[in-house]
Amino acid sequence: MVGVITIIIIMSTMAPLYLIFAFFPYLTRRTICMGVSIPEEMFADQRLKDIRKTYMISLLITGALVTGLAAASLLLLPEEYMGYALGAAIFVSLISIFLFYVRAYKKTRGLKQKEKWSTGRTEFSVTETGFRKGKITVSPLWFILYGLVIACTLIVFFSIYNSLPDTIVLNYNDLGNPGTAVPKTPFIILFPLSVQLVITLLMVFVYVVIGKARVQIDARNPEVSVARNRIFRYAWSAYTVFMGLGMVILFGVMLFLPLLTGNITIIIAVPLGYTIIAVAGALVLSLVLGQSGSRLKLKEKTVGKEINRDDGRYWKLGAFYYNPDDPALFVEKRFGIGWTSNFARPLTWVLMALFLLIIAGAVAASMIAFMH
Amino acid sequence: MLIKIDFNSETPIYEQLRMQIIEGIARGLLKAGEGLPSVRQLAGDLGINLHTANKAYTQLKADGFIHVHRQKGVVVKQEVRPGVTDEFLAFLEKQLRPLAVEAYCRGMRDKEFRAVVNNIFRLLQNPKEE
Repeated sequence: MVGVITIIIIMSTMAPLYLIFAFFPYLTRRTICMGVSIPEEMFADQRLKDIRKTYMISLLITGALVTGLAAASLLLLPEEYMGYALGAAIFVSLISIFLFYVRAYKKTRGLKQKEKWSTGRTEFSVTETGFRKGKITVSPLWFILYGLVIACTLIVFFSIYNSLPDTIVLNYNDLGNPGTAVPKTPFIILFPLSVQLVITLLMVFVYVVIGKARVQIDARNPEVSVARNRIFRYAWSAYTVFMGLGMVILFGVMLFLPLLTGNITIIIAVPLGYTIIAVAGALVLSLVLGQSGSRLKLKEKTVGKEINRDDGRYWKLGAFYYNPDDPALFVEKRFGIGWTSNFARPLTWVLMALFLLIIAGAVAASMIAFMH
Repeated sequence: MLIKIDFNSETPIYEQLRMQIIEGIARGLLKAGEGLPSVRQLAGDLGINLHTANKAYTQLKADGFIHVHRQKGVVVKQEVRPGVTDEFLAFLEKQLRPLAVEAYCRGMRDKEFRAVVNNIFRLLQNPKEE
């Protein structure tokens, strides 16, 4: 039991982290390589291919090593240190990924500067005035279901409150023994409730970002680019809404699961299984669609030598966007899948502070739940 | 409608924006009553300054091409567009004069010059040809 769960935890956190980052260079738009704007036809240049390949292979090898090492240390360490060990392992993973990325980014940028790829090219910025009038996200009405699930959790909890056992087990550890068990009080409900509310807020936020983020259209193939962009947003909004709904249901169910079944394997398998499905879903969506739908096979008519406006100087290390002259708040990531913020806009920092406050509030609510 | 801003062009960005929206209306790509993105949205999508987008919209509004609605936002005007005013005629002649003069000096006949203009008008009337 111990080994299996440890392996599953690692496989559903660190392994996908390395895998997805290793594949990122192949998921970007063809106008960007390792966080650097390039003319589209240079994407197939042998030297750039080599940079991407070296990066991917380095990441896969390091990933295998670090993941193996983490698995071994998790199995050997006493149980109470497991959380810290996993945290440290993920930290090491992120640092190593970042270093390999920066190396590849600098190599690509050096090549571009040395050979002056952008001189003599006309830079364009393209938009579609009717973009947001088409269907770009799933209906926001789906969020009503979130409210219903939360209401159901509350109703069920208080209607069966009297028949609940005197101590309630909140989670199980790796050995299948009760991890956190607390005496029964009505405040217990604050734990799943606060988590459910945070998830709901987060998913509404992501949904809004998907609708509002900048419409970035490739100058060379604008019509196809619009179509890719639409499909990409629609698919990810659907993933966000339904994956989040599943999580809200999960946190409601987890409180009652020990009452329905004494089988600990089921109690542990349900949340783990859901995590694996959710991570796998994100991986598949990323691999099939690519950033902004760039991997979708759509009919293209290749024309002109236009390049997209090169805003590379506003992208620190090709990954962090800081442009005080750009009114856009959410923009497409250059390296990766999805969107990021313009850090030159104060609203970005306000939102981040707000986000931390909400998390702190949820933690405080859970503390109250456990202390009473 | 697709709007394409050329950052290497000598034409200022607000002017490019204004011209493309007017051409969109002329060619029927933008229908009367159709909504346009807000100033903030447009500037954000194109990655241009807020004032630049605002300048284009302000001029389009002053010339009667668009209308800023309280609820619906920016919409293409329903009613007849600004007609051929005396000011516009004067403006047209002033803009056309240097071109006609240069064409004349290069030995272009008035018929050939008109053919160029006719061609532009034909494309506006049959947008699919381009």
